[in-house]
Amino acid sequence: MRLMNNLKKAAGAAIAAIMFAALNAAPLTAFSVLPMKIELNAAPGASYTTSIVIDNTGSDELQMGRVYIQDWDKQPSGKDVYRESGEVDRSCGGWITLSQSQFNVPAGEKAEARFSFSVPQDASGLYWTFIMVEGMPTPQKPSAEDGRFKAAITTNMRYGVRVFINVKSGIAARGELSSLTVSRPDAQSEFKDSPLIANIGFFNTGNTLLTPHGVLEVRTLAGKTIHTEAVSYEKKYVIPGRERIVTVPIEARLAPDEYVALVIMDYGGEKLVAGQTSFTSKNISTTALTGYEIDRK
Amino acid sequence: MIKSNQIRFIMTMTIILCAMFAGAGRADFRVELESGSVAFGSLTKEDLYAGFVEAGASDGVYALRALITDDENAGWTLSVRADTAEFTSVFAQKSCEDLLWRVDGPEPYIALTQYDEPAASGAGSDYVDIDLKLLAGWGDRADSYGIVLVFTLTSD
Repeated sequence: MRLMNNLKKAAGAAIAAIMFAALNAAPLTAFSVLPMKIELNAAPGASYTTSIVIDNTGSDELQMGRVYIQDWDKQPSGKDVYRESGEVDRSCGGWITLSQSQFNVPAGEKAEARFSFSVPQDASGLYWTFIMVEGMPTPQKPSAEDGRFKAAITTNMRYGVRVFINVKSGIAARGELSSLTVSRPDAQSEFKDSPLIANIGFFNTGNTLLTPHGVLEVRTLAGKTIHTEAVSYEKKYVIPGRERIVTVPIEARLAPDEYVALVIMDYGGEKLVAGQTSFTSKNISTTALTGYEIDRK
Repeated sequence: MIKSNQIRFIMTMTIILCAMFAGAGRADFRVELESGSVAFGSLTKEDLYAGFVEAGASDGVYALRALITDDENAGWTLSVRADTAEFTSVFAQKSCEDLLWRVDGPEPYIALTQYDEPAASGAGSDYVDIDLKLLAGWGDRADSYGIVLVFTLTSD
């Protein structure tokens, strides 16, 4: 009997603690959107329909939320730049028709937002945009005016569902090395403990998504390879018409001398691309990139 | 000796606890804000002489916390921007750039704009703490000011 009582007490306390924590952790407004990324293969001239689900995980009804299209572009660093719909050259924002621009979702329930898109006949390769899903905050007003300076900040949440539409027509996978520099890392860099870093730029000159990978070699002027590092654009894709720069640490303590940094990349095209630059390990002055293509054979 | 009603009780409790944790097994991707607002309240003479008031100034103390759930390590970026170019107020005008923000820590503050600026990125579940600093001085008209901060979550 004592065991039973102890079990009851322990279980009761555990449930109370969990429920208390859950209630305290629950924000006033909380929702999620799935999926956060939509990748669709499409044919020119065809129409398609798909959807996203808005899940209100909060304790209040989500009222007057908004769904809308916004374009995005990528800086070479990978940073997203938000644009108005239609401002990006390969935007598919104009192809999309949303079934609704506003939504209400009761607490604890889900709502589906459907959208259709029509692919133009002359489209080929990759196009992209964001479907934005934004809550509607209740603005927090400072207390009534009394001749004093008051301020209040209200928060709102927004999800950017990244949309890629890959039109399977006239696909051209092409790219080139656009820059290669060797330098010392900044004190704030994630590679601050590495003796040197290489910044490798890859430019997508085709019309499809590329995720190149390859190798960086450090060679003596006599041609002897003294250090090798893998180069990967995994999760750092390069969209058509854009450059993407990745940073690779060079984990080698080089004696003061002149060296050659050589990069060979495979982006899935007919040929490999390569480029090289020379640098002095003491002053780290890098010469201009010399780029070229290499046959796969 | 455990009796049959005790076994039933234990099983019932197990089911209840399992049900409460059922959501934990579901792959999830979302951001939740710990608080929906930050009130600076009434600024004091000292604040106005200093030219600013801060929320979360000390290291480890924050004005806002965003909790990010990324069960599948998909990777995320959380950005921040102002919803409007100016604070809403009754009589006065005040630029959104008078509100500064930073991720909690020693880094310098950044002026808030209407352009999304990445606050943090990562993979896996994490939280992002934000400090706020409001620039305000004797040149500002006494008024009630409000502005909406929009946090945007994206994934690559």
